[in-house]
Amino acid sequence: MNSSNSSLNALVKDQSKNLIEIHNLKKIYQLGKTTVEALRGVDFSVAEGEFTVVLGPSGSGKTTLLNIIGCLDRASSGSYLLDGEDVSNRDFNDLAEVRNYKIGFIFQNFNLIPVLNVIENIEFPCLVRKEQESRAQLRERVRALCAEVGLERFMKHKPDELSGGQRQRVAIARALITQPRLVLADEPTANLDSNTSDQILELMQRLNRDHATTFLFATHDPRVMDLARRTVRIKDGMVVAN
Amino acid sequence: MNILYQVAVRNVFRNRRRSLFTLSAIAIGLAVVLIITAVSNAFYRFSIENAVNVKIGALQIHKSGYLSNVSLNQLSFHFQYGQELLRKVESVAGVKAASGRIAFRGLVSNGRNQALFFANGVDVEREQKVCPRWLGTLTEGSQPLLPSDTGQAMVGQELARSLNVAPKGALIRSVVSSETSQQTEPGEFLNLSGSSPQGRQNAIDVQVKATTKSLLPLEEKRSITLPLSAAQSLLGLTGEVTEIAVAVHDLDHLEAVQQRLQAAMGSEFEVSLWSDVQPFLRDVLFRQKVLIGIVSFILFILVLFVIANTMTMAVFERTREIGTMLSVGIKKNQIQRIFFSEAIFVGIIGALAGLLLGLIVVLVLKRIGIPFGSEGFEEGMLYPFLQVPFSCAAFIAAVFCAALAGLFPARRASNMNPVDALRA
Repeated sequence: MNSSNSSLNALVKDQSKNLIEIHNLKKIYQLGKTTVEALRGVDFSVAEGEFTVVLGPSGSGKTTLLNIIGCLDRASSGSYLLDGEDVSNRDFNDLAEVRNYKIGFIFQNFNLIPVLNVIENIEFPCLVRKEQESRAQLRERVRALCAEVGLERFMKHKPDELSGGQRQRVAIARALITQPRLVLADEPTANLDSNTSDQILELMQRLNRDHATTFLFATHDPRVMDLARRTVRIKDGMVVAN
Repeated sequence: MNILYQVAVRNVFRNRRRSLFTLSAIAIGLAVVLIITAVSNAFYRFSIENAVNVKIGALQIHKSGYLSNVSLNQLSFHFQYGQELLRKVESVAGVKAASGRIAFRGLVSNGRNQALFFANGVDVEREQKVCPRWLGTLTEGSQPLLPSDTGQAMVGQELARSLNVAPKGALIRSVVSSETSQQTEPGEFLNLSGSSPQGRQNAIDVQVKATTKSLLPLEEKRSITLPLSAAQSLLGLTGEVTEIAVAVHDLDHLEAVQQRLQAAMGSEFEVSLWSDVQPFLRDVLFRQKVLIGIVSFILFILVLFVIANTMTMAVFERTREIGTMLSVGIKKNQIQRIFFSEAIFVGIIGALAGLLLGLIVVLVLKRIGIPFGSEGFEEGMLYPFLQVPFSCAAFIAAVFCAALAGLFPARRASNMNPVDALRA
């Protein structure tokens, strides 16, 4: 009895170290009469605080994997534990809540809301929550984050008044404002010049270090690979190197 | 303001040209509804006032059963007419004046030809107070009836022409006699014959003092108006009338006056509204209101489609934005709220602009008036007006249309798959 309890505790403890636990994950799309297997049984885990890069050629399934990890999409089969919770069978609104509280996104195209200024874009994820902190407290956090990512002078600017690098900084601040467990970045430097890319990557690395936030990248950028502490290669919907 | 409403409001001003087009469509749609309703209201009031002030009176008092038997024997419903009765009627709150009448039918002759007529024997002195425009439109050379007149009459101009009579001294085109094929000078006297309630035949001569014009052909061909005393003498109804026409201070509260008057007169009498006496006019006006209602409904449907189209385009254009919002954890109902409130906001601004535009046009038209009448007739003026409850209802209907139009696009936006939306 005691031994089985201690082995269960060990398992729980072991799982709690991993923020992401994926087992035999499959994703099948039906395109007309054709069935496409985007993921063909992925086993994969990411520990808390890791700075991980998922690599793979176009069509390898890395974006599909990131979408499922980001709770934007659901797997056809397999299990996915995020922060110890099985999220593979949650409904739409539950997944929205998981995204809001646990995941931050950084996109290739920045994906800011054009009618909101920098402050509003950053605080937006917190303002759509049912239970909200005080506006003053939130503003204070937004200001601190703006200072951290170098946007103090642009807080009232609209996205179309910012450069690509500045927009990506806004996106990073928005991803971090909810104090998520995981930040997913899909080709975050693809639309930036090399100098700006370096600055953005340096910023993300610092944030990973200072906030102990887990970062998971999908990228082709060799500079990102150089920074990553861990690289996962995907090919034809399967993890081929970890 | 909640961030979702802020996004909705700012999105309205994002594509200014398109928003301006949508707002204009709502504003013009609502303004047109208000203007045509205001003009229709003016026409409605003009028609009623015309009917009430020229001929009918706002209310009529008859012996009970008169209206349901009017075509059989209207004269059998006669009653005593005098100061005591008039005082009783005029003491009811809201009543302005009352005047006795005898409405009857008979034959009119010029000695050679005869024709059917419908006549009104009127209390000339009082009729002026009850129906201020009772004299109608007199032809050139005509003289109005006076309280002192006893043997004079006003005759519809077509009837006068067919019987070749004219007021003394009137410049009138003489007619060609069918028997002699020669032109004859018009006469001045007519012979009216009628029956008493008991069926006794009688006839009197009347002098044609005026010929009258009317928009209704039947009035011109059949109508004769003569002093009450002459009608009483012809019909053997001395001191009696068949109806009392009543004028009120305020036509908008007619039903209340009718009820009070009915209570005062008792069950021996029936007090009828002008619309009961002239159901044809009431039905015409009602049909006109229905028509305006249908036109308004069609306009609102058009407005609805314009907004729905704009909102659907907005959803298509902002698909990736919807994906972004979904990725940061916004819920379906919140996405719906953004687009739905955007449609309502567009509706409110457009409806406010439409209300303002409509009210300004109506106020201008009210000030200058719209000439209304036919050639040769005294010209009337239409003064368009709006009632506050209708204006409010039209405003709410426009906003409701906008909300309805926003429902489908909002639903479409909220049902998007985050991955597909982000990929757009």
